[in-house]
Amino acid sequence: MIRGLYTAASGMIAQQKRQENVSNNIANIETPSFKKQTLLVTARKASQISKKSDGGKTPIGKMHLGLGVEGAVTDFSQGLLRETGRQEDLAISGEGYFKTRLASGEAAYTRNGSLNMDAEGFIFNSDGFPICGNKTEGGSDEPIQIDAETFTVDGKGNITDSEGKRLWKIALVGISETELLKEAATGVYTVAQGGAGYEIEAENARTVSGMQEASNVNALEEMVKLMEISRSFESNQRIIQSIDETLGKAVNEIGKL
Amino acid sequence: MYRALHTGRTGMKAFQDKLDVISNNLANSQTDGYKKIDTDFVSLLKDSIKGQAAYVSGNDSDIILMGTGSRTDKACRVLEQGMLVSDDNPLSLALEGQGFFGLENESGDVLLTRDGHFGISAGGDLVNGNGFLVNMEDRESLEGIMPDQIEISREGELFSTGEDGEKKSMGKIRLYQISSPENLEDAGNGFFMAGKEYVQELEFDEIGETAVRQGYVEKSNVDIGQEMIDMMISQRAYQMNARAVQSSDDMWSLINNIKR
Repeated sequence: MIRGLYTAASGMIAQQKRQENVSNNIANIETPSFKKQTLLVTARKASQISKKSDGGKTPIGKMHLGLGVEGAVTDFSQGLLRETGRQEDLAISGEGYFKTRLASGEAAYTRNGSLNMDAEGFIFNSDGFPICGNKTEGGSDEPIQIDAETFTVDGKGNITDSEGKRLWKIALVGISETELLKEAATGVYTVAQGGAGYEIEAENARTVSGMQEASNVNALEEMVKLMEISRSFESNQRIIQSIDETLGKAVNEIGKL
Repeated sequence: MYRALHTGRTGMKAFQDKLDVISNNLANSQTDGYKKIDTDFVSLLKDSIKGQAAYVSGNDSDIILMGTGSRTDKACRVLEQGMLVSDDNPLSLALEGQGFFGLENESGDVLLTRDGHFGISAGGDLVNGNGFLVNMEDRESLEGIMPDQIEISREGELFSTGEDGEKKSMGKIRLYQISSPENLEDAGNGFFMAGKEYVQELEFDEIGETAVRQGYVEKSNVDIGQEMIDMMISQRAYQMNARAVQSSDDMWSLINNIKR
């Protein structure tokens, strides 16, 4: 009986977590480059039930003890491209990422290519992360630093100065196993076991300038999830009430004189 | 339950702020020299699910991260060119291309503006509607000169035509360039200010794309259609976030009603 209470409570708690996740997706419905997240829930580990009559020697079967959270999955599907009219806004169409660095120097990846230049000529995206590229064909990828006053960027990721001279090419890479991508900071992802080994060529990705990638949150999907979670939560609440009632009878009425 | 309520609240606040910006733009859709404000959304930091009483199977609860909502990013002026419309006043100036006029107020601060409604003060200076001095090089007094005697070149040089038909240079209007629109600060009344390190004087031989157009006025660069669409999107997104908050509230109410 008491176990039933905890099982139902675990259901409510897990649904609560899912609801928080859905709330976050909804709050970020207009955030550029935002990737929606889904919380995975799973049955908690099962407990063996045995026959009481022979002292617990004969197993009857297994029973799961409620709901637990298994993990969070980020959906990297393409968001719609929206025109911003700003030539320095670079958006990615397809499965690819810009290379960036965290403050610790660790390699990271991002989809946000709204570029700005700071006073020292370093190129940053609008989240404040440096964008990497290579100066020469086949060279290594480093944070881009330009000497010119202004820069222009084209659809292929080439950065040219005001005279059209090619300065850098922005690096665009693919990741072989996107499940390993973990968000390290706003819009920036690292690969759980260390980056470069999972980089592959971005075959079906290209950059488009003058555009920004919209959030890939689907309003309808989130609203339906919200309703489903709400009702599921309610069902669990009813179960708790029902168990409570039964317990009440067991405690108060059985054996009443 | 707190977390879901707060996440929804941040979303509502973000869209509310966006609506404030849109309203401001719409209110100034007819203001000459107005530059529209743009603001983007940013997601808030992610937090791990660890320590939040949920049972986590298998994996380390540290790596399950959930976001905590969204907010608007710092508002930025969009310096796109506004439409040029001709004006009867010969001292109405508009800038075609990047750059700002510089005005000096009573305290001596330099105010940047695109609004070129200028006139001649009683003391013979080129001033704007508030009486602020237009920054010029080699300024000569314009006392006694009528506005229609003044010709202003595309480089901003003033020439006055005397009765003998001779043209005399009366000075050159200084134009200023800003390194990035993020460095512009609002100074009220359509004026901007920026720290000295972000402002440079525009030299015409370096960047020959900017022109001073006499007898023209630059209209607001607000695109009403775009603002209306953004307004509808923000309104619906606000509504969605309100639904999420309501849903959290319903769930909390269910918890409270487990035991009457």
